[in-house]
Amino acid sequence: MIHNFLLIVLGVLSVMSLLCLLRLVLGPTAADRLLAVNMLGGMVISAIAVLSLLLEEAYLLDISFIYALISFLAVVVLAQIYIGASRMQYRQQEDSAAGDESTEGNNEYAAGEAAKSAGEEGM
Amino acid sequence: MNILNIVRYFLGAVLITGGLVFDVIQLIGFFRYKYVMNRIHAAAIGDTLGGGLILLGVFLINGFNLAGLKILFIMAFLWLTSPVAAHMVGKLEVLSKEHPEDCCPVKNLPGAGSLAESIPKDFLQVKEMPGAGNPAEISPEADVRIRKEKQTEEEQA
Repeated sequence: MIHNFLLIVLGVLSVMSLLCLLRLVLGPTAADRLLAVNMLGGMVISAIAVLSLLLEEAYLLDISFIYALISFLAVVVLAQIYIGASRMQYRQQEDSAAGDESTEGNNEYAAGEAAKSAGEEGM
Repeated sequence: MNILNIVRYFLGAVLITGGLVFDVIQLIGFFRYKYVMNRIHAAAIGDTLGGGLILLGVFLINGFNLAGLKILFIMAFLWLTSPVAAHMVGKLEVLSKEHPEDCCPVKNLPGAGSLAESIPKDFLQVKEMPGAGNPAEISPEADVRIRKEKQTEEEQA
C-alpha cells in the first residue's frame, strides 16, 4: 500500500517537473529561467528522496544531497555570470554612445567586474 | 509496536501529501504571476515548505537511523540555501536591467536616481528608511516625506 502511494507521489512530482520545464522554455527573461531551474532542482531532490524510500536504497540519499549542492552552486554561479555579462554589455553601449556620462557608469562597471570575477572563482 | 508503525506510516503519508499540495500551490503561483519578482515569492514556498514536508515525511517513513540523519541534513541544507538562491535571482533581475527603476520602483531610497547606482552607496543608511527601526528615531524631514508619499499613494489608489 505504501508502495503504491510512493509511486503516485513520484508520478505527481514528475508531472510538476515537466511543467517546470515548460516555464523554463517559455520564460521571457533570464531570471524566469533561472528560477525555473531552482524549482526543478527542489522537486528532483524530493523525488530522489522518495525514490530511495521506494527502492529501499540508502545511498540514493547521498545522490540527493549532492544534487542539492550542485543545484545551489549552479543557480549562484549562473546569476553572477549573467549579472557581470549584462553590466559589461551596458558599459560598452554607453562607451559607444557618448563619453560624457561614463563617470556615472564606472561604479556599475566595477560592480559588474567584481561580480564576474566572483562568479569565475565560484566555478 | 505494530500500531506505532502504522501511525508512523500514516503521519509520513500525510506529510508527503501536504508537501505535494504546497508544490502544486507553488506551480500555480509560478504560472499565474506575470513578473519575476512575484514568481520568486511563489517559488520560495515550494523550496522550503514543499521540499521540507516531503523530506520530513520520508524521514518518518524511513525511521530513525543513519539514512534519516542524511534526510535531516538535506532539509537543513535546503532551508539554508533556498533564500540565498532566491536572493540571487532577484539580484539578477534588478542588476541585469539597464533601467531597473522602470520595472521595479523602490520607494524611500535616498538616491532617487538609478537604482543600481544607489544600492552600493546608500544601502547601509537604514535611518532614512521608514519602518526599519523605532518610528521615533525617524528624522522630521523623513517623516514629512513619508506622509506625503503615503498621501500620494492613497490618491493614486
